[in-house]
Amino acid sequence: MSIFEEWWLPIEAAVNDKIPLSFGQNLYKEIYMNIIKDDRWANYLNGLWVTLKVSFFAILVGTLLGTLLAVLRLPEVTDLRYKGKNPLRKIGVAIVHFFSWFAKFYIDLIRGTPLLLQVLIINFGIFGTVKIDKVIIGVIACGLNSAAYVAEIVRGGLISVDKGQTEAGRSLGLSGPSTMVNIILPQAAKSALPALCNEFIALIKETSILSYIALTELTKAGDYIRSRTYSAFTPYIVSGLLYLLVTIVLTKLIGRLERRLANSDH
Amino acid sequence: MKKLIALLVSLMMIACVAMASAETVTVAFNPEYPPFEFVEGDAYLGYDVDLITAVAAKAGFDLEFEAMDFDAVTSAVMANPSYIGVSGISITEERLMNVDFSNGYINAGLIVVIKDGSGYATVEDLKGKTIGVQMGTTSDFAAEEITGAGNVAQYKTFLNAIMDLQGDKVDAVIVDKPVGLDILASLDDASLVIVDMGLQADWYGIEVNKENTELLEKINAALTELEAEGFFTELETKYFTGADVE
Amino acid sequence: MTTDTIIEVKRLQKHFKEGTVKALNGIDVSIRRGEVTVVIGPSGSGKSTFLRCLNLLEVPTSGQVIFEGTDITDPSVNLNLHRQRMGMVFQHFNLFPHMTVLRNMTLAPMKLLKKSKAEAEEKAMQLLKRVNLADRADAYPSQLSGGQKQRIAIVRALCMEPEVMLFDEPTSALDPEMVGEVLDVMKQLAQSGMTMVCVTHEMGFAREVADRVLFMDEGRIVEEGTPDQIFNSPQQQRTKDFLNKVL
Repeated sequence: MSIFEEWWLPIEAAVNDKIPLSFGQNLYKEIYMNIIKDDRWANYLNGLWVTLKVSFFAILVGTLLGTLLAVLRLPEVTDLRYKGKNPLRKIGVAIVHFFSWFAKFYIDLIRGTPLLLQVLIINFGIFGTVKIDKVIIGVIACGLNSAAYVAEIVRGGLISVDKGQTEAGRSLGLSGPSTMVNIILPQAAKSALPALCNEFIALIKETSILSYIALTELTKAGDYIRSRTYSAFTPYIVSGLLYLLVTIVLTKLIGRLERRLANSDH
Repeated sequence: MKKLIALLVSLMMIACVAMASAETVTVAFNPEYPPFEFVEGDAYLGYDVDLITAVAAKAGFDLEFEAMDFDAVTSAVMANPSYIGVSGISITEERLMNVDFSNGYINAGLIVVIKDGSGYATVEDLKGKTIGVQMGTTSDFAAEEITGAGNVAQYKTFLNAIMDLQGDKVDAVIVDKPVGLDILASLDDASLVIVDMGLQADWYGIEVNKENTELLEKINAALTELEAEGFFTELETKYFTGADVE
Repeated sequence: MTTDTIIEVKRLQKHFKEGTVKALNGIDVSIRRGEVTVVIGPSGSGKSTFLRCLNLLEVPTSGQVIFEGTDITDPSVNLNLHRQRMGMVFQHFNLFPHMTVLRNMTLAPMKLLKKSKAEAEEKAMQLLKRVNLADRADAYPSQLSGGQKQRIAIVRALCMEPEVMLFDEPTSALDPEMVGEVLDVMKQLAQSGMTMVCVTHEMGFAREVADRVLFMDEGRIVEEGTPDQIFNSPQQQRTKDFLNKVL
């Protein structure tokens, strides 16, 4: 019998005999019931692990797709014209224009509807009849959602890079995409980093919506404990503290990255 | 001066008695559980709603309804002496630690919903399978015992669990019998079948805050009276047999 | 000095804003290999636009730019290959701020000329020595003075071993005390036989270094000739007016 259980026994006896508990006893009851009993702390850690997994891959999907969407929205792309006669190139330009239009449509659609609805539609609609891991559904739903926000952030970053940088790259003979990847994006990333950090933190917290499709992430872990202990809010406080821990660590990491980038060009 | 104080005190006592006689009790419940409780238009309907309305009339208190997630109901009753939980709540040891229960008023049993052709016939077949349930219900506890906590998918509503069964994301769904029959009747999906695996259910009871023993006694007295009047047979006819017809 | 043509410009026009602004109004000119051509003219005369049309940073509305025998205004040519052979220096330097000086200079040669890192760096260091900036190879652009930045921008373009160098007002954004160091590098480059087209306000430089001076006004070449002809005996009234103002 562990020390925690030894402390618990007199309180349990008091509860059974309907003897009112002191404040300290009540506090320990909450801690024991919601964290210690039946190794419930492991439920939070498992939930945290799922939240971290989903968030990591969703951020990855969101950043890559969002950057692509941002590039498709640039004036260089939307104003792309081809006056020559090569039919393949004409089709190519038409396809690029279509994707550019779609990017705009996509961003408006995602930003204009609630994440919860998107999650429900993706789970019960798009993947309604597909046997697929809930973690993957979570990554897809949150990643697709985040991409729209990342796109606008990165677009802002791209616009903030001086036009002369593109001209310098192109005048050296670098292609448009190569100029974008080697010269413009690194500079855009730096100016977009604080806003991106906000978006990542928002995304981590928003994965809690996935509890609606029965994915046992950190919020659901709190829900689960609560459905067993009937504590009004203690499980949510434990989950909340874990979210806070994650976002604080992330903020620190990004802050460090920002300082490193700042050092690289005084 | 003394007379004035005496007058004030007696006035306050009268006021207290008056307030007590017009006591309002808030029903915490999750009206997404037909036929026990559901919403139609802007009205709450169902077996539990009719029952508690009849109980309140007998016991002489006013009712207010407050809709919430099922897993929030017990916590709400724990926190507020004027709240009761009437939401198809099974009487379990764990809940009794935290709230008091009225006498049980119905024992409906649990059923298992599976996809036609999946061939699960006994509880043994469900071991290690993913089972969908509504979070915090008796079905949830039963499923956890059968397949282990890691394999139970807990939903906010039973309907969402059924939808993921249709989408093959869970292998089976456990649910209270009347609720399962009701939703399956309205879904009309031939690919879903119901299996009775003899899962034992607990009696449903009305949750009352541990401090409010007076209310508990009133409710129990009312339930006994209603039983004697044959009110429960009336309810079952209205909601279980007759209700299969829309 | 050889006299074969390296860039030939034919009936070049550039309109902005749906044709309401005519920046270039029909330019015909030949740039000869090994020559230093200086373009002068009042602001708004179209001289920068003309220069930027030579490597198609501005796409001409009509007309042709024939570089080493290829019409590069034809949309089917691979412009990037031709741009590699035309270096360009900008008024605002446009160094890449997130890269060291050395990386600024080796990026394009490594990506486009497929040079190894060692080869590209060796070439870059040679050029840095020529402009006395070898000790700043590992610095970032923000750590350099304006004059240093522009000298780096010039050698960055030279790393691609271009056939022709285009200068777009390279000293206009500099503090006066730094103009000399940049002009010295340009003179050195001219003496080495590089073909150069320079848009500039430095009349001293034009007089001293140019083989040919083009005077532009209102989107046309009004007058062209040797520095002696243009500065000492201009034929056109507009040329005279302009020179009176600036000299």
